[in-house]
Amino acid sequence: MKSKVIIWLLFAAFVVFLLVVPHANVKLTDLTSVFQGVSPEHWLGTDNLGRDLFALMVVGGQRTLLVVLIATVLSFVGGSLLGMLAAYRGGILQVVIQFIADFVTVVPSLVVALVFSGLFGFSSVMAGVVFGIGNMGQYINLSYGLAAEVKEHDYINAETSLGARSPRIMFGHILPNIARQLVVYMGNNASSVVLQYAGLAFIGLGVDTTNPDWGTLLYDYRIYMITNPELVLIPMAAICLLALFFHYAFDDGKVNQEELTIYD
Amino acid sequence: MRKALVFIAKWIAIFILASILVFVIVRMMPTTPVEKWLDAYHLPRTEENIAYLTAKMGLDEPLIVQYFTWITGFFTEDWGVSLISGENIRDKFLTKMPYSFSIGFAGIILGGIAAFFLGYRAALHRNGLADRFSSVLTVFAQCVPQFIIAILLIYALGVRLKMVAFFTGDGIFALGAAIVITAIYCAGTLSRVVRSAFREQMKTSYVKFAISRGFSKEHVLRRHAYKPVLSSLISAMIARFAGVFGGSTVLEFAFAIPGLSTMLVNSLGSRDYTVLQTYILVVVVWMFVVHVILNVVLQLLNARGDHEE
Repeated sequence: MKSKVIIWLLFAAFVVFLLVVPHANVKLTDLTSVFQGVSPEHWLGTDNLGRDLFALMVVGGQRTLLVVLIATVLSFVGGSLLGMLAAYRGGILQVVIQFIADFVTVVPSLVVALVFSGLFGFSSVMAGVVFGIGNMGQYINLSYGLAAEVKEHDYINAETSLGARSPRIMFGHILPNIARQLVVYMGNNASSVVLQYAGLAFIGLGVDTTNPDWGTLLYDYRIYMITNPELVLIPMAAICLLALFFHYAFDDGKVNQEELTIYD
Repeated sequence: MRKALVFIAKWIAIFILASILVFVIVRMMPTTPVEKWLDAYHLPRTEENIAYLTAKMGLDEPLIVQYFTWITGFFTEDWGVSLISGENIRDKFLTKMPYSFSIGFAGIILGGIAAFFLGYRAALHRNGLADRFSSVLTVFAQCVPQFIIAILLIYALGVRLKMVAFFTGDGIFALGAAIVITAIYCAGTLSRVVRSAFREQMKTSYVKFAISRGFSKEHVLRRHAYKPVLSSLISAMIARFAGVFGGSTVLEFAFAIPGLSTMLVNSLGSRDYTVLQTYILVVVVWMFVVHVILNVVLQLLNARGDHEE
């Protein structure tokens, strides 16, 4: 429990740091000082165009967090609500919601994001919305399955016969019972959004390179891997650490606890 | 039977919805292919030029007509020509499909096979070496993007050791590497699915009974418990396939494999309506084919199980 608090505090500090730290202009190139090492002016050195790597990393981090925020909130709220609604109401609503879930799961969201960014230009808000909708299907299936199970319990029937209104039953009784699993899934999903966004930026369609993303940086710097490995290692480490954070921060020991079997 | 009908109806609905969405979205683009074509040949965007090209590309017809011409063409093997280069799209797609499709399909099948054996070992020895390894692999796949591994691999094998030429020759190494990376990334999560499915079986009374009769623990799992486990494995593979296909897009790009995604990237630049539309349809049809194959396997497994009971 304690380590979880520390991880969250570190993450909060990281977010605040990203938002407030003063950084150089990322669009400023300076060809007289390329590939400079770490120095007081350039905390992480400069790249092949003389841009300040620290500034690039900070802006890339802000953009990544924005994408993760939009995508997870959209798919968590939308997916859990739709799933619960489908389980609670049933009927034609369930068929429609199930179809939406199937549709968004079947169409690869990375491909959709590629098409959108090619057509309308690459933006982090767009990427967030596309990933958010694309990942909604898994949340719908998960919350549908969990809610359908909870719905069968007697106390829900008791509530209904006592005349409780549907929103009260859904949010007051079903949601608290399924929230734990949904949150664990959200953690895994958030780290996969980090990776998806990095992949999208790596392919970088119609990319506006003046807006640096960690994936774009990796694509730009991959040819300097031998001469200046730090240019590749820093964005790489940032992507992995952020994804790792989301994976562990939402992990919950109480979910997936397993009983011992005859084999242990 | 009823299930099969529902399945088909669902896929027809998915196909129609996807085709309408992509048709509309493509036409909402800020720049039209007509303008792009004129720019490409350094011609002025005069009204005459635009009117002529619009008619030539067939974009002056009502949207409904355009949509139906496109859809009927898709099923009658007339996929049209690229608006920009005038190449036959069908030929273009057919030469590129094998690359993209084999990465996704071979990757997930290989990954599934590896996951089955890894998951089996992991379930057998709780917290043992295989169990730890499969956990690590899962976290690894969730936290390290595939293209980073691709870059590192190209650097290590291609640049440092000069063992493999990824970008020259027939590209067979690049394709192989992409398949292996896809498989490794699938294997992690899928092995957890296999593991928990096996552990679920371990709780059942028939397993307990067989062990108490003196069969070895491994024997019981291998001979009797594998069917329900395979079912859950295949269901998990079906659910993950869209993601796997998306991931293979990035790998294709990283290894410069001349597949569908590389073509997509190129036609996005020139706003090639027909290529874009057809790409999405082809992806949906491919998803359908994979779902059919895996679902049939699933049904066979379950049917055989029912029969024996």
